[in-house]
Amino acid sequence: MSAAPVLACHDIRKTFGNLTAVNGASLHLAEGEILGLVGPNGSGKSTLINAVSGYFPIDSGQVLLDGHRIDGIASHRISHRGLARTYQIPRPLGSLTALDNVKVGCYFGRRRSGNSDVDKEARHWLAFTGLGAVTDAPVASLTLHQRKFLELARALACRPRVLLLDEVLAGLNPVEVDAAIDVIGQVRDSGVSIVLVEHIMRVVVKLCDRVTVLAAGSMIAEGPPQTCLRDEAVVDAYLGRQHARGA
Amino acid sequence: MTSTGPLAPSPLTRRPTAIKLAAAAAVLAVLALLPVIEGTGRNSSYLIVYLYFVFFWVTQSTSWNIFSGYAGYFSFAQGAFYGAGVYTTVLLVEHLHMSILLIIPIGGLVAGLTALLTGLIVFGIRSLSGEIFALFSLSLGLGFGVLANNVNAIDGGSGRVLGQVSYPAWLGSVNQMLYVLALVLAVATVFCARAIQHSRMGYGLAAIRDDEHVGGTLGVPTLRYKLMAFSIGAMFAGASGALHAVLINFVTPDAAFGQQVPFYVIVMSVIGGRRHWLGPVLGATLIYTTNDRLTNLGMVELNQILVGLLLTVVVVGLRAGIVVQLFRRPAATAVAAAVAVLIVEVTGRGGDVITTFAWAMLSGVAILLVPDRVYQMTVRHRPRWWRLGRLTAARDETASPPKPRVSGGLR
Amino acid sequence: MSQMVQTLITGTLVGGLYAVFSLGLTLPWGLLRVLNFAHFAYVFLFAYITYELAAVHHLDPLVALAVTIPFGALLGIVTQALTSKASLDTFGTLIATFGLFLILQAAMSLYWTNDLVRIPLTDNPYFVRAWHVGPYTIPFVYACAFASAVVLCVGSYFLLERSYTGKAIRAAVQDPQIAAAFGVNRVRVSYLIAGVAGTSAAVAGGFLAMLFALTPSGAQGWVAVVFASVLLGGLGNPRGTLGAAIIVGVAEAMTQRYVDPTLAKLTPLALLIVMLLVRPTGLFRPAVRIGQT
Repeated sequence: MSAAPVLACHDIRKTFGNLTAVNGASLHLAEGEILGLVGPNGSGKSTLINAVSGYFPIDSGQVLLDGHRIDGIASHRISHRGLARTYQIPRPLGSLTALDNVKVGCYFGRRRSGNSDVDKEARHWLAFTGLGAVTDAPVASLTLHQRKFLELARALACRPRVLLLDEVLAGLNPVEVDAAIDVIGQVRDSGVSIVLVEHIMRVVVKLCDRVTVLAAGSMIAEGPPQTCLRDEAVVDAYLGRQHARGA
Repeated sequence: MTSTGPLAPSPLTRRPTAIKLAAAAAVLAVLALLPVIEGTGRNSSYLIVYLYFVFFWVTQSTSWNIFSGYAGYFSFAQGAFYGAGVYTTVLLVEHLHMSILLIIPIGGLVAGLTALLTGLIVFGIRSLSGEIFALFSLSLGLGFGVLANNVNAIDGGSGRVLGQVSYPAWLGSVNQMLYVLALVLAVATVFCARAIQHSRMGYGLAAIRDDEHVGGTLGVPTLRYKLMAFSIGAMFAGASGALHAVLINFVTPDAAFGQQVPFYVIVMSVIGGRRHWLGPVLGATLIYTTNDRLTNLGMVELNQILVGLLLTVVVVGLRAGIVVQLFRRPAATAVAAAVAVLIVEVTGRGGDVITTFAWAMLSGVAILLVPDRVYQMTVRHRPRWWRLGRLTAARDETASPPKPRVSGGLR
Repeated sequence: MSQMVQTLITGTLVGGLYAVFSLGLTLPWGLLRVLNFAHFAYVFLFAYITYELAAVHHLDPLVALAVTIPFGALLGIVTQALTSKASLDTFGTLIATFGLFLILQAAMSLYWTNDLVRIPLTDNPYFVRAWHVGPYTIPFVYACAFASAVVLCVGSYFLLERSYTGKAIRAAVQDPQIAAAFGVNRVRVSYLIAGVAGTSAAVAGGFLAMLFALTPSGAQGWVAVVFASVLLGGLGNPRGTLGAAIIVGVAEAMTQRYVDPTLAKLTPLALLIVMLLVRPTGLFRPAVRIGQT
């Protein structure tokens, strides 16, 4: 990796009272790659995503997007610099239709489209994620699958350089998962670098160029998915020492 | 602030059809010509006064809604901005004998600047959440009320008489002048609210209302928009207050900063609907008209019961207010109103235009309050011409609200 | 010096009354996410009922409490049954109950008119009774109010913190689904809290009738004091509410005596404004933070 990483996190630390959720985690995302962020439950993955995207301030460490520090700056500025994210439990804007949700991304993301383009763009992104049929539906009527993809469409409408996907496939059936893999692949091909937080291992193996493993708030392994996931420390973290020795 | 009513269709994407534009133009034309034909027909000069108050409340409610409705930050402190406008007039008339045409925009500016400064502290330095802001504004609003009642320092006595206010002669009598300027202000405020709603800023405010964190993540400049909406709303409230001072004439701190304005703007906007510019217009017209009619009959308590009942029923049943329901059942409402007018005129209970109008509105509201299930049953076989609204066809076909199917999750 | 102590005593006792009044607002708000604005109307309703019983039917006002308290509990339960059916967020309950408040206030106005009414001394001998400890005066009714505040607030605290029921309540607040999985009957638990809130409304109303002249629009005057006590004390925290109410009462009394009587009414509001800007969760620990609804 000779080029500078598009997203770099150095020694992130975040505590909640007595609980240290993230303890010196570092992360590098190269341009055009899909980085898997895996780890057992409670390892701090979502916290790390939240910290990187500016949902809450970090206690120490640095987050750099394209070489510029984005930790501590206002959320909307982070978005304008080119960072977008989805939420583990979808958070659509409840009083708006699906189309309007995506329009918000078009209006306020990196491109900041004007009134004349917004409608077309929003429809494009909805079609891209397969939601063309439900553009005018109120979000309350959408299934979980549709909401997750609405999140994705909305995040893409912000024209990000880096996209953080927080367990976007959780709760989907295998058919939906396969469709999602296709879409995510297309997103990467269009030039967006992705950090994929995921539990479903076959997805991680199939999609990710590299994988970082988080356990108890810090990194324990990094590398290509095939080798990384077989690493003794990783298996230990997920399944326990006995299994690790057998791997 | 959480959003209300997940079942309500998004009104943000509406575009005016030819019918609506024509109807709006017709209404405005009639209203504009009314002072010219004052004195003809039944009780016309009271009609002018009544309509002035309708314009006043439409302006106040709409201005409140620009921030509190669109962005979801409930404010109980409308009285501060309205009162600032009132006192601007008092001071400028007393010391500089300015024309009312100059005073109104200055009153607006004063109120707008006050809002901007307060907003900078409350949103910028401390960044209060929606709920805490509501409580904060409640405290401020109550504080103003107490000050108004007790402290005489504001005007050193028990009130000031405004005296002669100068205005261009072509506006006619004082009542006509008040009417015309109030109409202009109301149109301007509603126009501005509509423009904001359909604009980029409207989407940004809606994002702030529904989920401010997510809005920020999507790139909405939340601080800037909150300040803008807050100040613009306050500006119109102040301008309207500046004009209203002329009507009040004997201005006491209680009249300027009392609880009446902040209370009613909230009630009117909540009942009318806070997400759409038409909501406060409808709410203000409805509440003021019934208020006027019932107070005339001496039934003050009955009026309060009616307002309380409407408030509770709307919040529990209609969530997003009357206006959204109106978009779903426009024809039925129009028919109900027309039938009411017919009955009232035939049975001779009309009295005057205002009473007939009140009955028409109440009938329309009654139709809107019918629960969806009952409504679907009774109008299942309605003819084609019934479906006037653009969205009604698509929306009404869903007989029962679809339940969101969320699996897993931690909530 | 003795003036200062007397002011402290008076302020503390008044704080007791504020605490009783405020308990009925803070418990549902903090534990059930229901901001029941109609509580203000409830208190006045029970005040008026006490007036009727005492002035018209010549029932001893303290005995009247025995009559009103069960109805208070019942009213609280009914309110909870209705609001839980409506499934509103906290703010929605505020507006919906505000509508109810308007209706009740108008109804009271229709029945008892807007004229000030007061229980005559012959029916309310407690009004002038007081204990004299050294140079200090301790008004009897206020002392009773303070005593009931302690009973209700500390009692609620023990109920919430120490008993199984209390733990169940707190579990249900934090995560209703998990609590239900552990056998916590959320409905019954919520009725218990609502019942306590309604009881406090009846008690507060009773003491109000013994102390003040009543008029329906008087309810508005209590909003500032009650919200100040509730928020300073931490939502859903009964001991905190008692402490905060005493602070508010003392601050008010001090302002009244030493600064300016007309500014006394502003004291709770000033406390509230400062607190919201500086430490919105209150001086004491809340059951749930504002905004977590």
